[in-house]
Amino acid sequence: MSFMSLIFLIFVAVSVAGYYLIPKKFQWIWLLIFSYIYYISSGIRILFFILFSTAVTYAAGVLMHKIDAAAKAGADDNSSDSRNNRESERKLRAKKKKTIIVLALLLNFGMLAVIKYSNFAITNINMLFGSKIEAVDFLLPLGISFYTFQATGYILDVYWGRCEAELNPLRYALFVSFFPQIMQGPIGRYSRLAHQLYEKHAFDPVRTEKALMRIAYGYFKKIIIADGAYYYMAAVFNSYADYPGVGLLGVLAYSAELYADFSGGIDIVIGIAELFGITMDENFRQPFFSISITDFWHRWHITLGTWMKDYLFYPISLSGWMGKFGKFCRSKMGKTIGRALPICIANIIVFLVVGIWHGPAWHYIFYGLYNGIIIGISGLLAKPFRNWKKALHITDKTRWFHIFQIVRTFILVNISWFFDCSDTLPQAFTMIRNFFTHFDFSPFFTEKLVVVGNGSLDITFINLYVVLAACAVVFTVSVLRERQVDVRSAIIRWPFAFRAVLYIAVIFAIPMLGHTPSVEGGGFIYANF
Amino acid sequence: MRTSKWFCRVLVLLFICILITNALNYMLIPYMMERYKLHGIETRDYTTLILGASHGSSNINPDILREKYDQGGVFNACLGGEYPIDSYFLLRDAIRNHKLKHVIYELDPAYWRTIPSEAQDYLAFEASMSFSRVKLSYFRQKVLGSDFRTFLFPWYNFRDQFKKITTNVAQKMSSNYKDYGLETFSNSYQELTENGQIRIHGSGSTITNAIFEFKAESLREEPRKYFLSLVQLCRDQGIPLTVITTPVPKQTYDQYESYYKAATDYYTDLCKNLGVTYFDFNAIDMPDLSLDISGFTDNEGHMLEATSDTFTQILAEYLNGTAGQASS
Repeated sequence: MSFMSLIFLIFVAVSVAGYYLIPKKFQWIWLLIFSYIYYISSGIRILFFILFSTAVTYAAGVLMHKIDAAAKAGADDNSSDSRNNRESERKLRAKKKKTIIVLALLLNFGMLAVIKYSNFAITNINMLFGSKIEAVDFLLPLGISFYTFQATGYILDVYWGRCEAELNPLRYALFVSFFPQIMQGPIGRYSRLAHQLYEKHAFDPVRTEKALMRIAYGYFKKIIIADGAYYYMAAVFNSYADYPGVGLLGVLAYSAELYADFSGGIDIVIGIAELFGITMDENFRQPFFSISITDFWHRWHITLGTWMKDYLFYPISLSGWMGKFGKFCRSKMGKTIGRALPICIANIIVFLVVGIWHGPAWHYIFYGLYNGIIIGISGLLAKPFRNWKKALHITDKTRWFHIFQIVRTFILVNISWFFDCSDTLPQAFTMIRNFFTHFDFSPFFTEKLVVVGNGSLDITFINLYVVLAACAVVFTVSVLRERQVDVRSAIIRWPFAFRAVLYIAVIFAIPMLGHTPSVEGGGFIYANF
Repeated sequence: MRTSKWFCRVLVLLFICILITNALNYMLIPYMMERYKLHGIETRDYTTLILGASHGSSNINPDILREKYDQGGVFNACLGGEYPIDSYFLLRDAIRNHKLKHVIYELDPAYWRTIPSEAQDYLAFEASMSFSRVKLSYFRQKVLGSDFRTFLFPWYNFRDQFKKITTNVAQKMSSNYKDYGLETFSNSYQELTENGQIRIHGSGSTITNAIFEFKAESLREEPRKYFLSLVQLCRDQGIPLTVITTPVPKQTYDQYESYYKAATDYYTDLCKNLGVTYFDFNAIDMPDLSLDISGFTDNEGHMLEATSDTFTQILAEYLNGTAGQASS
C-alpha cells in the first residue's frame, strides 16, 4: 500500500477516525490491527518475516528479563552461603544473557543477511572463483531493514539494562510493526516510542491540524521536488554516456530528489503518527546546512546515525580489543594519533555497515566507506586543522568560514551521491572523471531539457523552474527551522481565513505542479530498503 | 479550540476544495471518447460486443459484422488504453442491460506486458460508468490502488491544457456533449462511428517506430487475471467468446517474427487450455487482405478504413464458421 495511493489515504482516515471513536483502552490494539492489515496488504507471505523477527526479539527480551528477575530475588537472600555463590551466579547469568543476545542477534540479522545479501555473496563468489552457483529468488519483505534494526535496538537495550523488557507479546508486536514507520523509518527507540503507543490519546484539533500540515508538506516535497527532479537524475544517470559532462547536474538533481523523497516520506510518517498523538524521533534536521560530514550524519537519517552510534560505534570503541589497540597506538604514535586512530577505525567500520545496510552492492559499500574515511581522516587531522585555523586567525564563528564549511560539505556529500545513485562502481568513477574531462553543458541548452524514451515524456525547462521554485520554498522553511522557528506553530496562530488560503494553495499546488506518476518513478526510494 | 468548531472549519475547507475541483474538472477535462463508448455500451442495441484496445477499435467495423454476422447489432467498445481489467468491467456493465449473444475480445499482447500509465484516460471508463455495483467493484479493483491525485483531482492530468478551457466549456455546454454526439471525434484524420469504430481515413497518417517484444516470462499477472475473469464471466453467463489478435503489417511482422510467433504459441496454448476459440490473424493466411504498410496508418497495425473493412469481412467469415463452437 503505497503512501501515494488513494487506498492509503482512506486507510489512514479510517484508522484515525476509529482510533478516537473506540474506548481509549483499546486504542493500542486498534493500532496493532491496522499495522498488521497494512503489512499484510503487501502480501500475506511476508507476514512470516515480521512475525519471526518479533518472536525472536520478544523471546530474547523475556528470557533476559527472567534472568534479571531471578537475580533480584536471589539478591534478597543474604545468607553467607548465597554470598559465596553470588559471584559465580552473576557470571553464569551474564553468560546466559550473552548467549541469548548472541543467538537473538544471529537469528535477527541472519534472516536479514540471507534475504538481502545472499545473492550479492553468490555473485561475488561466482566472479571470484568462476563457480556457477545460481542466484536465489528471495522475497524482500517490506521494511525489513527498518524493523530488524528497531527490534535489535530493543533487545540490546534490554541486555544493557537501559529498558525493561516488554512482557506483553501483542504490545511488543505493535512496537515492531507500527504501520506509519514500517516502510521507511524512522528507526524508533523503545524507550521513547513504546509508552506512547500504549498510552491513551484524546483527540486534539490543534495537534491534528499540525499533523495534517506536516503530511501535506511531505507530499509537497515528494510530488513536486522528488518526482520532478527524478527525471533529470534518471536522464543523466541512465544515459551517462550521452550526457558526459553534466554528471554534476545529474547528481544535484539526485540530491534534491533524495532529500525531498526521503524527508518528504518521513514528514508523512511523522505526521500520521502525530494524528494518533504519537511523537516520533526526527530523522532530518536541515542536512544541507551541515558544516562537516560528521555534522551531516547528525542531521541526515538521524535515527540510523544514532542507532549506529549507540549499538555499533560505542561497543566497538569501548571494546577491550580497541582499548588495547589504543594503548598500542599511543605508545607508538603519540597521544594525539593514538587517541584518534581507534575512533577513526571505529567510524570506518560503522560507515562500512551503513553502506552495507543501504544495499547489497559494491557502490553502496563504497558510499559507506567514503563517508567513514572522510570522518575518520577529519578526526585524525582535527588537531592540525585547529592549529592552521589559529595561525590564519579563523574562528568557527566567522560568517564566511561558516558558509565555506557548508559549501565544502555540500560538495563532499554530492560526490558521495555518485556512489549512492550509480548502478555500479565503475559508472560512479566514470561520471566523476567525465565531469572533469568532458565537461559539456550543451544538452541543457536545447529546447527540450530531457527526452525520455521515445519522447513521450519530454520535460521542458518549465518543469525545472517548478522544481527550483519548490526547492526555494523548502530552503526558506529550512532557514526558519535552522533559526529555531517552529513554522507549524507559527502558522497555526494565523487567523483561520489566512490558514485556509494557505492550505488550499498547497492542496492544489500538489496536483497542479507535481509530475505525473509514471511507471518509472513514483515510489519512495527508501521504501525499497 | 473547540473540536466542533474545528470540524466545522474542516468541512468549510473541504467544501471549497470540492467546488474548485469540480470547476477545474469542468473546464479542463474535454469530452472524451470513453464517455461516448460507455454510453453506447449502456444504451445502444446490440447483441455482439467487441472489447479490446486500439487495434480492435480501428480494425473492426461493427456495421459490416452486423450485416455479415449478427443482425441483432454489434457495438465496438474497444479503445486505446483499454486494458483487460477495463474490458472485464465493461463487459460486466454491458451484461446489466443487454442479453449478449457473442463477445469478441481483441487481444493485444503489448497490454499484457506494459504497466498502465495513470494518464488522462486511466480512470475515464470508470468515471463515465453509471452508478451500480459494477462501478463500485471497478472502483475497488482499479481506483483504490491508483495514485490519489488521479481520483481526487481528475483535472490534474489535463493541467497543462489551460489554453483549451474556452473550447472545453463551449463543448460541454453544447448539445453535442449533452446528447453524446460524435462531432467532437471527427476530423480529417479519423471519425468515430455510432457503433464505436474509429475509422482512419488515411490523411495525416504517421509511421511510428513500433517495437514489439514478447517474452512469456515477462508478462504481468494482472492482465492475465482479468482475462481469465472475462473468460469465466462469459462462461457463467453462457455467452460465446471469441478471442482474436488483429494482423500487423508484413514488414512489422518480419522485423519481430520470433516475438510474434512466441505470442501466437503462448495465447494459442492459453486459449486452448481455457476452451476458448482464438484466431491469431498474424498466423492465419488471408489471401484477400493485403498486409502492405500502405493499408495501415502506422506499423503498429492500426488499419486504414478500407483495410479494416476487408479485414472485418474476413473476420465475419471466421466467426460464421466457428461461432457455434466459440465457448466450450
